[in-house]
Amino acid sequence: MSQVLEVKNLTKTFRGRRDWPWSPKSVAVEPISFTLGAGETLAIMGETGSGKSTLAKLVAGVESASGGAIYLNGQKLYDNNTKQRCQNIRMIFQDSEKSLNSQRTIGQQLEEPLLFNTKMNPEQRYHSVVQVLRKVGLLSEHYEFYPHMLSTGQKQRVAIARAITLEPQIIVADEALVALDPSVRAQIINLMLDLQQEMGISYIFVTHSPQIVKHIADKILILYRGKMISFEQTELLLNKSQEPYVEQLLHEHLSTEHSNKKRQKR
Amino acid sequence: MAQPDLYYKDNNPSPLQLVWYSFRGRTAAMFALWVLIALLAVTLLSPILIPYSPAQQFSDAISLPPSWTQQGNIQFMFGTDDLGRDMLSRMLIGSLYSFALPLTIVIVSSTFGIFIGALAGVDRNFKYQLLGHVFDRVLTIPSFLLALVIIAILGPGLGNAIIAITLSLIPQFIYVTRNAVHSEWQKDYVTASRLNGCSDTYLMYRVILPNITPALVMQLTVALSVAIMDIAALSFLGLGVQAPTPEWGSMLSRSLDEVYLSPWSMVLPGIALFITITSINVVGDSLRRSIKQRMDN
Repeated sequence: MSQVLEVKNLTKTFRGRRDWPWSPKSVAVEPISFTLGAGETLAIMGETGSGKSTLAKLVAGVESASGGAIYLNGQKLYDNNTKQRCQNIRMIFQDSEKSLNSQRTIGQQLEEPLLFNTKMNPEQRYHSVVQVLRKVGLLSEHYEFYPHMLSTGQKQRVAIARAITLEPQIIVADEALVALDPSVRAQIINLMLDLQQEMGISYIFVTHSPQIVKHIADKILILYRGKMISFEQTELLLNKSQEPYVEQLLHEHLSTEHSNKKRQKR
Repeated sequence: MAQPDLYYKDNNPSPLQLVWYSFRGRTAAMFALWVLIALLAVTLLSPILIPYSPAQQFSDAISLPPSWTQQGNIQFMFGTDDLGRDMLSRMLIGSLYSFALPLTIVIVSSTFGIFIGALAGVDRNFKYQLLGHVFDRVLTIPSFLLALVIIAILGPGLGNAIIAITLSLIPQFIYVTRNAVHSEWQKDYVTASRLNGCSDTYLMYRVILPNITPALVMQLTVALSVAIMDIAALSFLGLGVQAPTPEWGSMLSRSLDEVYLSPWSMVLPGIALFITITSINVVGDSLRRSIKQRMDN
């Protein structure tokens, strides 16, 4: 399988809240290398503060890397070339509510990527947006809606619509499923898997839910304090891993259920 | 006969429209808004409306009381002052200096302030920090004091007063815009638009600006009432508009000597100032409440 994304020694250092030249640096992500094939799903796992969100943001282009390089189909991605990046790598945010502009209609927001990355005229843009809305299970009427008129699940669908508008090769989802309740979460996961089959998208999921990872991920990347401690096929990692940290992450739900039961008994 | 709506019509009010609906429901706010609109109309039409020239002296009608009193004369509706000049004409022309001028000052200073503030808000590092620290200090000085200092340097006069008030209002606009833009800039929806490949101007005008309008509108109303007060106060002190020119503040200060003989020459400009500033504040406050109500829902 050809590799869509190749990440080589990607690093990120922060300088704290105030970015003075003399303030001390802290390392958020230590040199990380991994690859992702077309149509594959990669799950990034790790405890809170392990740098998994930072890694996702680096890949999506929200933040610029301090070192290393990202190659897309063998081409190097540059920070200042947003066009190249946003046509191929798109991001879905954790909180769909916050990631939508409350003052503008859904249609206006979905037209944004088309406006800046294609040469469509307004009519073509409208039709393209309506088509995408239908694809994610919304109606063409939603074009005129404002975000506050939609439910959380619908907002997440809009966020997905925005991500797939330019028919990208990779979608980065940063904890995109956390805020949803279980039934909606199932719907959204199925939608994303359908889209993956249909359009051949590769996903990078940042999550800490082992169930979802087992359900959808082909590969798992595990981070611990900014270091990559394992990058494996899901089955291999699930069956063979002996490391306690990995065990803990992958079977977290069991242990929390366990402790809940214990608490109830007391 | 009322026409019934036979078909369901899509009505998706935008958040700004929702604010307007809420504002429309407030009686006091709507009243104050209409007062302001009427005032603006009268101000703009004042050169046509005045019955006499504001400088024309009627030697046979000196210190004539307003027309609704026993001694009054309908020829001079608001009476005349101690030099026999028609009060109504002076009040009308005075509104140009006391209302239209502050309005222009606010428009000019907000343009500059919002532009600089937007530039400062976008930049997260050095410019932001520097402007932040400078303006935090500048804002500890009341704007009127700042205007006085500038007048002290430039010297009294209408032109200098305009410059002084414009300059003293700019820091507040920079401050408000900078903070609003800076807090919006870090939100996800801006990042999302940035990842859409939007240009910086599009990001500022179409993405961020609609979200900071509430803060800007509130600052505009505050600045307007401050500008009116400042220009009236400067003229009252004799530092702004100079003597023969009719301005409400300078009319007040002139009438101090003769307040027992002709109280109307003090009361009328006072009432005009009071009505103007009260209605601006009521509109501003209601706007703030409507916006807050919309945010809560």
